[in-house]
Amino acid sequence: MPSLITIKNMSHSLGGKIVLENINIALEEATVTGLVGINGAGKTTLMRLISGVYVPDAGEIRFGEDPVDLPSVKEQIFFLPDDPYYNHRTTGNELFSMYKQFYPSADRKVFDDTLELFGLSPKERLRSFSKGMRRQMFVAIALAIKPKLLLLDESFDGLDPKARLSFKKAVNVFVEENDTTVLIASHSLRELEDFCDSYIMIDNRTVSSSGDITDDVSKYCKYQLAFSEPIGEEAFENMPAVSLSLNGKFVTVILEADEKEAEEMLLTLSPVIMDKMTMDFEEMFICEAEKKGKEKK
Amino acid sequence: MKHFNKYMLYRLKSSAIRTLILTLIASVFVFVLCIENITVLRYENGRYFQNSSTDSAGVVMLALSVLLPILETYSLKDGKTLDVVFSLPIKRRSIAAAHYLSGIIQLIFISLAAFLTANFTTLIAGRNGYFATVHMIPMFFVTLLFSLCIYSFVIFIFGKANTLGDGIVFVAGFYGAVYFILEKASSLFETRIFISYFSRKILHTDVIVESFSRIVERLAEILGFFDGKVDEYIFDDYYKSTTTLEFFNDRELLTTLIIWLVIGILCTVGYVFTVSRYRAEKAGDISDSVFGYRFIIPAFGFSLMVGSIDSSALTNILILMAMLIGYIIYRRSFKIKLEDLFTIAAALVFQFL
Repeated sequence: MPSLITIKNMSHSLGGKIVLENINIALEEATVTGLVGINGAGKTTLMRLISGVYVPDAGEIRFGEDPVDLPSVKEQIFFLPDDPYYNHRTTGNELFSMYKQFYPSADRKVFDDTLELFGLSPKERLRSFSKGMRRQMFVAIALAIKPKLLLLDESFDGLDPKARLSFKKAVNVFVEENDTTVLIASHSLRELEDFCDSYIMIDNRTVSSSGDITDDVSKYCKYQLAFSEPIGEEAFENMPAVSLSLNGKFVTVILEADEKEAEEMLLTLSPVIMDKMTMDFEEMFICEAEKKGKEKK
Repeated sequence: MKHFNKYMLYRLKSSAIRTLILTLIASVFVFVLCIENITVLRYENGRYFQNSSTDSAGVVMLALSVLLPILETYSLKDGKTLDVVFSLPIKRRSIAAAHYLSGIIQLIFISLAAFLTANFTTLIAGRNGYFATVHMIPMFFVTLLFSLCIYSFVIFIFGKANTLGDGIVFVAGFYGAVYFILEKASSLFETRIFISYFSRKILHTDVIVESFSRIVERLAEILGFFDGKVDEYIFDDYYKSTTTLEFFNDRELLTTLIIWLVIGILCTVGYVFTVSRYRAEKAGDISDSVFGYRFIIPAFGFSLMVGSIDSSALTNILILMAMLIGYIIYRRSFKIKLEDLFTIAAALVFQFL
């Protein structure tokens, strides 16, 4: 399948400091990809580069065969920043009219349906909305535009649990119906896990890891063990343990191994109880970060 | 082109209310001045020849040529706005062109309202005196020509800054610094080098007004608006510079005009180029353009220090302190750079030259 977005050897600096270095990414069509990284990793910068707000210092970013800075390409990309600009006097209707001018594909019915899902009125002024409600309004705009590539920066931020569910539902339906590619940056890895097909992790100015979430999470196994006697760290020395929590006779361990290998290793310690726990994306992220930290040392 | 048209329409719609408010303010300003200052120039052969503060409309246009470029482009110094604008499906030079032209359309609209207000107020409120309204036509277009040069200059210099505050400082400071340098150089070097008394005239407001007023007069003659000696009275009193400075010859005035037209054209091109190449990540950041603090502070500092060897030590200290404060404002921190300190030291040495 051809990649919708291809980034090759891209580097960029902000204020003389290199923020992203030698970035190589390929985003496939009709996928939802989570962009993760610690604060200041460069997630928002990457989104601004893809959307054309920033121009990279080096390398290239292509939408299919074309560079992303062409107006005809930009018509197919929509970037929703973390804190989008709006005029205080603007209503939802006026906001839609404004964007409709630049994105002829904007669908009024989709806009209205999405607002109905969120429980918002297009006639009210944005200044009367809470932060979460404003974000929902802009998400409705984003979905109405029906871009081929949708860039969402911290879009879960400020949404209550019900609104998050509505948001995920709306985006999932949107992706299925329009074959849109979504790149969503978020700190909330738990939210991304059940929402994204794949992930890209930015760390130390570059892409430290990427891939299918389910496949990569399954590289780790998490177990809770109980022993008849207290056990020390040394028992786990020869195991690929990326996380170890000892509490007397009770141990929680995460091993970088498949289930069969992990069980074989742990059984050698003769635990009284051995329970396999569900490993989630957030834990995997922490493990990856700790592993990188150890490698640096 | 379609994207440019859409963005242009968006800019005009966004500024519609502001334009109406400025039109109202300008019209009221001109109306009040004109109605308060109806003047009978002379009485001859049974006719009154009158005029009023019709030049207030010209003042309005010139003021707008400084204000409107700032109002039209300050939003491009905000990161949040750039996230929207630069991600829109439109080329950056089209964005620059749209902001530029939108401001000019507003300038023409508001100024036209002011000129018409001045014209009709004088005509209606006068004591049935003779007032040649037709002279407002060349006056409008010539003042507009000059205003466009000022507009282009302001939009270019303002565009070099990364914040609104820095932009305002750049506009006032750059013009002032160049004027100051030329004033200082001409007083020091007189006819010895190319920077002569003539050169400094290009920034002298009376010369600028005179050069453009002369065009008004010539244009009125060509178009047949002149009614012989009658209109000559009006031109002599109101459309020519009323300064008591020495007479300026046509060569000097023509040179001033050409220089300003060239400045206008270069600044227009420069502005579009600046926006096209602007790094959005710099919005809100320290403004380090060579057209800004990096020029203004040494320009003022050196100009003040040159030849000040006879001044008191206190004066020199105050000048150096002003430069230091300027650099602190530029860097937004007390941690100024070594190059800034070298510049201050060089200014101290320069006074001995």
